[in-house]
Amino acid sequence: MAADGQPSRKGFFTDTSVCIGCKACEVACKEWNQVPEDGLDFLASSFDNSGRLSADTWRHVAFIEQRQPLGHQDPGVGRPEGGAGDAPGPVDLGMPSFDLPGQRTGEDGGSGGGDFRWLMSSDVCKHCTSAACLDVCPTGALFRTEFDTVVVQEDICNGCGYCVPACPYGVIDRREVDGRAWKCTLCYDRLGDGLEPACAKACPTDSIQFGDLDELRERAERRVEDLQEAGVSSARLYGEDPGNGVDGAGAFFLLLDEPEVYGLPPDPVVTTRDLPSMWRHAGAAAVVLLAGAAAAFAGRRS
Amino acid sequence: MPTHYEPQDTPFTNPLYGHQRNPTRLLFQHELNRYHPAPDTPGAGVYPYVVTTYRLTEHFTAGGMSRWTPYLSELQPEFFCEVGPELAAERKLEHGGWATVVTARNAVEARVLVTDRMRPLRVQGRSVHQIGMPYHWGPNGYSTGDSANELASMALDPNVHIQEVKALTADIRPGRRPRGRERVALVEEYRRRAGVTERTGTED
Amino acid sequence: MTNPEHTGEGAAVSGRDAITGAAGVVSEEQRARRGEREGGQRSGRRGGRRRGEPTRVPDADFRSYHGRPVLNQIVWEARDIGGYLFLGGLAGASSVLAAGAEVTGRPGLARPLKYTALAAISGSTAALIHDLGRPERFLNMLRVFKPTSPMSVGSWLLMGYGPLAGAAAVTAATGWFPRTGTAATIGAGALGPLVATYTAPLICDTAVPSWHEGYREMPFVFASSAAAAAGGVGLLASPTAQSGPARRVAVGGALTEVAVSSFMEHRMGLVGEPYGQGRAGALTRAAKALTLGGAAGAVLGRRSRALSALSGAALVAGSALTRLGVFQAGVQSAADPKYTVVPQRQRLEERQHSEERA
Repeated sequence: MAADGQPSRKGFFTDTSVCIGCKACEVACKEWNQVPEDGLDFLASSFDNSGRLSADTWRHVAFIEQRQPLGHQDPGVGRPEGGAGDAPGPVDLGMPSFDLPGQRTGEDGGSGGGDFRWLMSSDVCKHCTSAACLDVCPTGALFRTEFDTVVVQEDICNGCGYCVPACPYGVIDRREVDGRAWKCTLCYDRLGDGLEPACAKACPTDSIQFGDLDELRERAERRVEDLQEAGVSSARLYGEDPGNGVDGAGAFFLLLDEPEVYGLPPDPVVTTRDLPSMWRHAGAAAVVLLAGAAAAFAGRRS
Repeated sequence: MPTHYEPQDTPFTNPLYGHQRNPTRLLFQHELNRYHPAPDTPGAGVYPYVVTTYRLTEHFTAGGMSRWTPYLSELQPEFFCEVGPELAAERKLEHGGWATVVTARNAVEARVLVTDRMRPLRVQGRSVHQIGMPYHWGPNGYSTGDSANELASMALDPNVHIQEVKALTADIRPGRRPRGRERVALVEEYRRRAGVTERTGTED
Repeated sequence: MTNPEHTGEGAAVSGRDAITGAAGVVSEEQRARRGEREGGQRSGRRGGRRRGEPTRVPDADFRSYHGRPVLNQIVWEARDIGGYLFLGGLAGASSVLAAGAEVTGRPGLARPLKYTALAAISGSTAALIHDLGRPERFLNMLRVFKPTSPMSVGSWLLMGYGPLAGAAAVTAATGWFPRTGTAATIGAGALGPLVATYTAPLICDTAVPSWHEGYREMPFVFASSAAAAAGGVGLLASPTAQSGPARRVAVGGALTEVAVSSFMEHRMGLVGEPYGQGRAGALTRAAKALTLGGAAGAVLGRRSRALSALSGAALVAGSALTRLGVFQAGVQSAADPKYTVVPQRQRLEERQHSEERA
């Protein structure tokens, strides 16, 4: 609780290094919020058949398979480094081994060499400090709650759809059958009762951590340091910096590769930053139009 | 004493033990339950790949409950098979496309997921590809699909009579399977090529 | 509700390149480079540019999540919002010309422009309301006034401008209250330029690359396009004796629009690409052709009512196609992750590079 009695800012820290891709977060979110089913389409994107965040998917688990190592892990399914086009060597079942898993790595080891890792990450609305969706909403349906989260008031939204292209992360969307815009509410109705959001509650590995944002930030810094020390050099935080393009995301992530690999923008900036300049340019253009028209009428008789 | 037996349908001769398969296994000679030829016979190459079946997180057992739940069905909406890139190239399988998997019992169709996680097996100096198939689907429910168990044979363990659905051999080809009489014709054509009779696979 | 980006059959890719989850690869060249790189690189980053190397062609290399767009696709209908942009611009510029014609005693020019302004602003508002997911809630736009939302500012602007344009047109049609009519005409003419230009911040105030990056020039594109259209209406609907100013505005607007939009598309670099490709490219090229053709006809048709009218129609059509081209370019740029990822990755690297040197 802050000094003025207001609740402190709440958010998510999603540590994707421990995500197991179970999608319990997707299901829990849909159950709690009565979100409709989002289409039975086999997307062939590894195990991801949800595809993206939308009006009907507020938690989206991404799966990325890569031919890269992850720390000292030996997944036993890698391909030897043969590059494009070569048929890589098959696994040698050989005789049973008495080594601990991961002890034998490399080309002569039981794994048959090569690298593999399977990245999994649960994406969600970032609840930006400077939220473009909120800024452009002409009805005031999108507002900031006492927890500093961003929520759509569904009784006000008239479905103008302006928030949809404004979001730099591609989160909010308009529900076709309904007409209104929908997105993650950070379970506003649960927070009010002192509960944690459904996805955080359901997550079995605590990949999704909920709490006070500054405490989460501290925890995240320590976790990244631990991972780096453990040899996972690709571990990094995404969105936590209060000086970033959205002045800090309320839901930030620990990623194991570049953001674009997960479908996240590398350097998102809230569009409102340029708006004052946009208004100035629009004003200048209006003046030019007026002046041009005046000149066209000036003096002549025909 | 512990020993190792190969599955009922296998591409390999038993490397550890002289006896190829469990001699006390229960077999059923039936028109709809033909077994595959032994590994060192000419017909064995007709079903050259290994099929392994497994579960997905999103569905539960035969899918009787999970396939009726929209929230689970949308997470894994279709029956698919996982193949390695080498097998996909060999059999011209398209990632995201369809494939038909054929055994002496039946032919099923599945969407194709090409992935590094499916590695070829290297046994006895040769390489055999694996096809992974989750077995949650059936003809009813919100999400429907062919059942992987249609490919398996009834060869039961003598103690608790569990059938061998976890490891078998099969062939895979691109495209959807035929329907009706043509599906039966496809299975029979494979059987003819492999020389499958009512006695095939019943030896030790 | 099916997922528009990836329905199963269409997602088919063959063999080795179809490793699930592999970064989106765009060209053969990229595939070859990826092959060399997979052998060695551990950093996880596509080695597009090393620090200190000269900038390469930006769209050479980028990674994505299964080739999917980063942004959610624009939910607006081209006909509705493209129409809203075009008709709003036409209305605003028509009011400006109508005011000029009113005070310089050119009733044959003023009257059709006043009618046009009313019809256009009504159509623009109707198009906007039609595009709403819940059209019956359109009045919710007037719950708040938010300067951070160009749509909110626009709604209030139209609340002021609409009645003025209406009064100008009705008094002109009926002959009632002529002095009020003149005042309304001048008022509409004063607000007209804002009506013609606010729609530029409206579309540019999004994350859509081909819109946002053009925010400096877009108001000038829209204003000059609106001027060309209004001038075109003047040429269509008024006698040649009185249409001189409309002709000048039309030609000036047309030339300015083509010049500024070409400059904008070029200056945007990579994200200007959609303006020249696909459906957006076709619309933009057709728009420019009609606009320039109309301007030429306007100059040549000084004494011919028929040629003036034809030119006027071409200019109006060109203006409409310009907005549709801009709209479609936005749609195309939002649909391809390249336009989101590449410029941002570049910007990030430049910033990190300069931080390191500092």
